[in-house]
Amino acid sequence: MREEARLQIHCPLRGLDEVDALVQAGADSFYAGIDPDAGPGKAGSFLSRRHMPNENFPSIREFLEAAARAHVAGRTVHLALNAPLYSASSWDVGLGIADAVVGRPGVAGIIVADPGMLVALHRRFPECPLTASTVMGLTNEAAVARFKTLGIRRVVVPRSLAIPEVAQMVRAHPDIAFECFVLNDRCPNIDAVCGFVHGFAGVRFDYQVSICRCTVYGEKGAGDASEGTRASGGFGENLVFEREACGACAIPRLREAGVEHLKIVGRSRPLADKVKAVRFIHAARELLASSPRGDLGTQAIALHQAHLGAGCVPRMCYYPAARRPGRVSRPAREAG
Amino acid sequence: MTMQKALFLDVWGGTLDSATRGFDRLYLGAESCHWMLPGLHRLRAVRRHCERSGIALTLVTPLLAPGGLPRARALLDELPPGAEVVVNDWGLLEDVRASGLVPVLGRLLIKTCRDPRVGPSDLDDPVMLRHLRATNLAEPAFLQFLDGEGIRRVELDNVPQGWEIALPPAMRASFHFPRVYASTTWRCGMTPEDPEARVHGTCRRSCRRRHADATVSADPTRAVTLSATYRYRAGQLSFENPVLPTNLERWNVDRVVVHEPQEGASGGPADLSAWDGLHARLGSAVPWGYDKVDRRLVERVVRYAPVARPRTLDLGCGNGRNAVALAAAGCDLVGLDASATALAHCRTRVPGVPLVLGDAANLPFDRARFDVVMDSGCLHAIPPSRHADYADGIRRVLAPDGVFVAFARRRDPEKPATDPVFLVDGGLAEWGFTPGQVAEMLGGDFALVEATPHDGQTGETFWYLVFRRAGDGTTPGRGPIDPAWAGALESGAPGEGDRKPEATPLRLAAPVPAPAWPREGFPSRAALRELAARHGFDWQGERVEGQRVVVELSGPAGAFRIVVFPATDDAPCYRGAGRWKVAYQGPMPGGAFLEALLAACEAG
Repeated sequence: MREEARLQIHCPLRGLDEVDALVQAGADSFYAGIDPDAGPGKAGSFLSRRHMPNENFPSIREFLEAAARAHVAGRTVHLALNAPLYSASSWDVGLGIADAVVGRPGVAGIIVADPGMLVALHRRFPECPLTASTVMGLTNEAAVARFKTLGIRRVVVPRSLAIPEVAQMVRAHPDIAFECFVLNDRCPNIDAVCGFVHGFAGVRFDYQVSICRCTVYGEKGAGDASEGTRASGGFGENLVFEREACGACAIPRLREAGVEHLKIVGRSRPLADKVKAVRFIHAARELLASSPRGDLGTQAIALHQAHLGAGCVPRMCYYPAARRPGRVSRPAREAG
Repeated sequence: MTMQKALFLDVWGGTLDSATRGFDRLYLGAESCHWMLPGLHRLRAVRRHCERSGIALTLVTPLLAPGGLPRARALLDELPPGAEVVVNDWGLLEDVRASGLVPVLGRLLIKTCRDPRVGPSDLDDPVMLRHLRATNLAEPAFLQFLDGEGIRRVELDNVPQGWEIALPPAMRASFHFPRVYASTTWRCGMTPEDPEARVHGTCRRSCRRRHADATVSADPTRAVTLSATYRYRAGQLSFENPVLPTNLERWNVDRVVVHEPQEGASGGPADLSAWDGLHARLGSAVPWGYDKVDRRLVERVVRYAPVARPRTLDLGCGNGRNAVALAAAGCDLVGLDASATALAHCRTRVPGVPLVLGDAANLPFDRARFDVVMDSGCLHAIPPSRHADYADGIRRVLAPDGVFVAFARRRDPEKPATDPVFLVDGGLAEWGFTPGQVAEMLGGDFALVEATPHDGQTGETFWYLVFRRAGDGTTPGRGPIDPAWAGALESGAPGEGDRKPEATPLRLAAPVPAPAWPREGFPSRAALRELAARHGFDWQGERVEGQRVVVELSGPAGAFRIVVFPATDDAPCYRGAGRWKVAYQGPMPGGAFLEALLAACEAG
């Protein structure tokens, strides 16, 4: 049984000017990408999972400055090199960036998704802590075990797992740190195995936005869901992307499960939004720390309203079972 | 390289004997949800069947949540040493190897874009195409990693953009067809009331009985106009790409994995393998001839087609004997047949023509996709229980004013329609028709244009049938049914032409010219051309599809398409105003042009 440590808030970063404000808001560590080829008129190198304009640092220098500033404040930055695949050119650029940042002040490690890149980085920097991105798709304890031998020290748990499943993985690997999503951008599809175009193209599509952000019509049953059978039943609603998704209610249960890091999504969001998000999760964390029952009750919902200016709704919930009163998750029944 | 044929079977309501006939290998299992894995008893039964039938077995395993691991591991223990296991979860790899089984890299672990919205304009753009074809299989370090993991086979998809890979010679590939894997979700679409059904074990496994097709439509806030249809089943989102690429060997493909037909609303899955067996067994000795073009049929296509270069479906194209003539006649052709063997021959005759392995009673094409559907002896091979499905497909894929041309067996109207009139090669049944019976199947908006009896050389009797689908009122020349054929419609008895087949085919409608420009009050072609030129776009062509005007344009960002259609049509669009809506497909041409176009349409 691992000791219950203080939960760490892991926050997205894309600029030097964001560091101080986010540290003050309560962030404990950061993750950020570097894309020297990003920006207006440039193609983008597709070096990390996020490759749209303004999602990454535009240069190694600026990234290192931000890491150094975080270091001064007692915080760390993880470099995201978690593209699902690398072309020949982006491979070289990616490794070059790793060469330039590993071991520098404030740089705590690298987040990876591609097994080829993982092997290369582990060979190059055997001491560098590597994090398995959610894009790597480690959805069970056996998958974690496979990649632990290749240098993985921390795992970003896929959004699709329920808390009892996370707990099972944590129990199996007390030497691995686990990180779970708690705020923003809950895609219904599993990142690691999703082929929709926004995750892959590396180019700016005018019209091909994420398919899961579009309206989905569907109807249960065999056959076409043609125009005549459009329905907005559970099927469609269940598969729609939720930009403002929240898992704050589940923080006590995540802590019980042994999760150490709470991840806030949204590299490209405005600094003001990031600050609000960090303050919200920080407030929930502090409330939990002072709670004699070790629970947030309904106060997480009140905090959501107070910090984000809107009430939460069930379909935006990252961990619905944690939100519903009286619902107790049990381990999966053995299949017959 | 010999091409193996495998059948992917996840759920099956019929018998294995009928399902697996004609296949070398059976894929059993699931890729996205462990609740869809077979149970131990099922796996044992299938294994016994495969051993008895001389068919190899591949177990397909999914991406696994912790609760799915024991279930998948238990199945591995049931496989004979050396059996293949498709792995879609890195966590199961070690178990597969430790069990003496052969790991195959599943589709979920192969990264590439898999999106039903990838369209022709993307594929024509070399920059876009390069990005769309990016894959981890082109990454040397990833291939080295696979080599170290003992993986010598990968599962490729029929992605619209194709593959740009050069696998090592020792690495073989299987090719899945026609369903393309797109994504996996564990927010279950079938048990939405319990978001943790996977954990609680409350999954009702309703995916075994049904799926859901979903339309992803426009997002008005993002000016998205492309829509797409995908299928949700067992945690998996997939779509269909019915066009089988040629020259699969360039990707080291030595196996095609055919996905089982989904259980439909009626009739159940068809046993199509028998037709392939017939082609494979008889080759050029198939009774309907191997090389002879049915000129009577092709001439009717040319004569009745509503446009000069009709988008034509050669339904039951077989070895391509008619496809050659249709292509030569200028048809924009797509062939469909249930036999992969026949399609392989067809491909050598009409290279470049898209050929689709599929079921004539479950057509895998979009609505209004064709101007002409030509059926050469396919309809009469469809069992009566599936006639409704067949007719549904024709109605769906044929555009307004489109033409259905068929060559089908005749039957004695006194005898039941369900009695076969012929057995091909002594085994496969065929049924006869009357013109009225076909008219009733197709429905009220199809008008019989011609029904000409034809006597075969061996005493068999047939019809040449032509039906035209009702249009939107812009197509001239359609009239009431000729009284000379009214009797035939009612009784099924041959008419006058029976005595002099082919002498003077009766036609009720004159050849119909291409549909006119939409209507009064709509801008002229010249006005729209001028508008496009003002915005810097080149006019590449236009066509009218029912009430839709489709204009092909090109500009600095590449080729794109504009569609103008009535506001009463609730299809996705860029914007609608008053009477008209405007949509674009391909790179966005700019709001100023679209707004100007919309304004011009409104102003007439």
